Amino acid sequence: MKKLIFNLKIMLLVFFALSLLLTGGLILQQHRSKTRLAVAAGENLISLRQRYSQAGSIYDINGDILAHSENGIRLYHENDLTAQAVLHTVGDYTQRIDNTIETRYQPVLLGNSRNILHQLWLDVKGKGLGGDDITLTLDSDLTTQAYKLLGSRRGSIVLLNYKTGEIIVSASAPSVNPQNVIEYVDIPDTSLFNRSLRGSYAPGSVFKLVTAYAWLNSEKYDPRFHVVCAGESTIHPDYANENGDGHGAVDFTSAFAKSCNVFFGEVGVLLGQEELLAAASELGIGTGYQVDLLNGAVSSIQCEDSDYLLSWLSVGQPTDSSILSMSPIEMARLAGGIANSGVVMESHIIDHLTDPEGRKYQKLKISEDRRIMSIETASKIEELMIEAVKTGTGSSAAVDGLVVAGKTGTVQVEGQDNNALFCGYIVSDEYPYAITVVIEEGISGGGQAAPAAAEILSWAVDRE
Amino acid sequence: MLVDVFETAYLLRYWFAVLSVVVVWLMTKKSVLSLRDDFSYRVRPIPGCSLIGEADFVLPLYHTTCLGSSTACDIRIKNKDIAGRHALIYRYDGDWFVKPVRKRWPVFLNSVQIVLATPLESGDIIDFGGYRVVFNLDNLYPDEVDYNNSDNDSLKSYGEAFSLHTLPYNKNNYSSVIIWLFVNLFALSGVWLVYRFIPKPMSELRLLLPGFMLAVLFIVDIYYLLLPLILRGLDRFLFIVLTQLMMLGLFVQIRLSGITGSGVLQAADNVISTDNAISAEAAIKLAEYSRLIMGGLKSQGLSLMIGLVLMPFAIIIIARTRILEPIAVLCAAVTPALLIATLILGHGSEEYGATLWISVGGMSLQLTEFAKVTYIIVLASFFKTRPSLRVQFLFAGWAAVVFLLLMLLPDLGSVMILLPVTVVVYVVMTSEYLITLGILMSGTAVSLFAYNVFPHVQRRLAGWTTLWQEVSDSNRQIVYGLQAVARGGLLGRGLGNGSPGGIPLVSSDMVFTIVCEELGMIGALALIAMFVIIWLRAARVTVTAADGFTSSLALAAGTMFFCEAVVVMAGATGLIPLTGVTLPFISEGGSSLLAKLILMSILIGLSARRTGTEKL
Repeated sequence: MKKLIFNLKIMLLVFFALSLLLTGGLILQQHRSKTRLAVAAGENLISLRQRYSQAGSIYDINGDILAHSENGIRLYHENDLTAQAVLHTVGDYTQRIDNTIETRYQPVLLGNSRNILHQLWLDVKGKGLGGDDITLTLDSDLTTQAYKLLGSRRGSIVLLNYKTGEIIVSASAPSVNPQNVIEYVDIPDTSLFNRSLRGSYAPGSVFKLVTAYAWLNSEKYDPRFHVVCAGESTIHPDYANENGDGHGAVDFTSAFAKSCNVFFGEVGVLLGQEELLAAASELGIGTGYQVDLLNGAVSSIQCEDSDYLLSWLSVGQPTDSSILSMSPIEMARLAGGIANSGVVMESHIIDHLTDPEGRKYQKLKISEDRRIMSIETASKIEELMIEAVKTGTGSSAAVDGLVVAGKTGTVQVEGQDNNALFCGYIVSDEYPYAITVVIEEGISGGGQAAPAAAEILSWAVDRE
Repeated sequence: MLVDVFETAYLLRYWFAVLSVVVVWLMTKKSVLSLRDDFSYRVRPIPGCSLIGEADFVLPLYHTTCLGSSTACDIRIKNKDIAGRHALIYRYDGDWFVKPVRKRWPVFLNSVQIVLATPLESGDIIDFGGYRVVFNLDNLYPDEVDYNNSDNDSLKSYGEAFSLHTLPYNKNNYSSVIIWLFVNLFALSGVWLVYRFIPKPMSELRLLLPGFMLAVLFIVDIYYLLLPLILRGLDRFLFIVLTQLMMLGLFVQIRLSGITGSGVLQAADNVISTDNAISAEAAIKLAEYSRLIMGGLKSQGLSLMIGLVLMPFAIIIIARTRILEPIAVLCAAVTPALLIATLILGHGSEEYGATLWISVGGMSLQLTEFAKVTYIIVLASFFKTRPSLRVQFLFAGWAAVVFLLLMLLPDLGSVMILLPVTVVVYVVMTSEYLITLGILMSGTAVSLFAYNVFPHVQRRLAGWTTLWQEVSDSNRQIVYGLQAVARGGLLGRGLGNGSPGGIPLVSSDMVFTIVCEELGMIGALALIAMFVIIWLRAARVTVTAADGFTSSLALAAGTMFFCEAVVVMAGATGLIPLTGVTLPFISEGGSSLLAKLILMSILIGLSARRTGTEKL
């Protein structure tokens, strides 16, 4: 009997220890699941549907409802085109597209990110179950127009306010209705890919902005430097202008306006690998960027020390072993930085969040991301870009009554037609818009991308 | 209309959290205190039974008394002819027995050497190692002897034991009425929620399900109030825990049965929310939905009703008679028979590796659940005292057969529960620490064997170890479950507000994750505490019981509830590999529920048996 009591006491300890272990384990598992499994891939779809049935709404800047939950169902924009246009930004509740508002802001939308006192307060008011609403800086009408403009062409159009960093248009084609994504039927190739944020495009002649910056800041810079362009380079016989015609005698300004590859190729060689790559990295190429909680693609640049590769790289055309890619939003940020006297603003897609009581919080804060160049350099490059639109390759980007600065780009892509690019902005305090248009297989930047940019810019000015 | 009830459920989570904390705190505190009291005051010799030693010293007797020279013995006699553990005197089935611990150390009863356990009668003379005692059933009050002035050390310590008898003892006066009221509030809130959750047009279901819940609550309440009038000493705490677990289980199951027909519900919802008048189409849908829910709950409800109706009879019979003791022999035969029947007739889904269901008259039965109950009855009857090594081997042989059959089925979940139960009962009742170590090691060997032989064990283990790296078919269940646990947070989403859809086996193996999601971490911890409380109450019975069998059976029952809960809770949350075990009273499954109700009846019945301190 004595032994029995003794044994039982030991067991009592063992069982208490077991319960404590279980309790501790449970708390640990909950914590681990919260941090590691919450947005894990392969989330339970049925459960997601149930949870999003009470999630908050997503509005655009004009108060248009892009996503909301009603009667236990998550609904997206009623207009098919608009729903498609904003798909890549808004996302869908099944989380098949990552890097969207629906995935990255899930705790906000489901109301899980509140502190316990606030939650208690909302519970008392009977509003505790609802999630918070999100208002985007996106203009869904303009984005829809941009998406319509792309039509059946693959590509991306981005418009942002370079003084505040707000992203106003972010369209990526092809796209598909969110309902198809949820049911996972009839999804065209690459239509779930957000080209604006995640696309990796060779910038082509848009990269001449970088080369020009490097040239202006180099000790080797000589304003009288000019080249007699015969369409072919003296450095390498394979190196030529896009169309093969010669531009004749060109100086810095006219070479930029005419997008003369021979001139910029020689400048690139003169600068050398080290200086060119350093300039690119000063402008932020090679580092990623954030648009609130959304991650932009990390741009990349790499080039061996060879005159041939270097001359091609200086005009934004990666060849053989060199690598060069940027996302449309990053190009727009670069143009915006030049427009904003050398300062790139922090990019934003969230205007504000609203809790179920209607209290707004996390309102957009305008802040500098980084200064990429001096005011003088910025204004010099701006002159070049204005000239390019006034008289050069970007002339079809001109908008009546506005001063548009910009640069076109045409990129050879193996196995398909050339990609067309335009990157520029409106020189105006009233309409501080920077834009990037990328049209895959758009043949030429001046031909397809620049006119599209002109249309978007004029709409953007008209919208207010 | 629907949003309303969700909000209500959401707000009620605060109410439930407060209730859980209060109930669990009070119950745990009282259980621990009363167990401590039992340890210090109630473990006393049984009055009216004694050994009269030399010089007319009266030596007290426990329900199991060990005589020998070691400190572990209840009666210590230092003598070179007396072994460390020499003889056992114990009570079984109302009679007293004496038996030698080892053959080498002879024990004589009325001058005849005995080998096996031999019944004792008052006046019998027991000789061992040159020492003589007389077994005495007369009412001889211990305070008539002055132990404290005795020269004999061992007698002195017994004097202490007797003097404790005269201490003012708090007669387990821990009132449970307040806790009982709280638990009833909890249950009534749950019933009200169920009533609110069922859409108005489903009037039949709207009356039936809350009505059933109320009926269950009412019946258990009646038992709680009336049974202690018939059986003094019956453990009311166990009724409270039972009420809490059953009501929670009912709510969760009713709530989950709605998930299975969610498509139908959705359609019905839409119809209801658009226009208040119900179209014929909607009526059909609703009827279909009602049928679905009822179908899902049929076996659950039936088992609950059968179990509850039989419960008081079982409790009274177990408490008042000694029917379990002879039944143990029968159980020894029935346990393997049940398993063999399952082996031959069993069917089930191959996917989960086990084929444990047999069909009887349209109902699916899981006989292994009942085999577990019969197994522990046999276990308890073997280890009512420390049996001789030969008997231990006999048991080991029998248990080996049972475990082999379980592995053949294969029902590894049961193995994972019965093994610890066996070890706990064995070590507590026999103090064979070395052999226990051996059993633990062979247990490890068995699990290695299981790992190598059963592919689904390997699959589960692989899924478990890669839980945090990748989501695969083998661990999706747990990952989804854990996501639900994470959603619950501290307070949960509110009963009925979680999103358990899509978690495989959510109503049986994974049911704990729903508790975590809807009642939060507080609810989950309260649930763990409930099973700790069951174990504490069982330990009380073990300590205060009047004989070894009651003692060991109560211990086995309490340990089984606890182990089952721990294995499934830890499994569902990825702490250990998941095996197919049910969470007692909460998981889906009629057989499991009925078997657990039987086991609970046994435990409550044992608690109401005469305790060792009452006079025979």
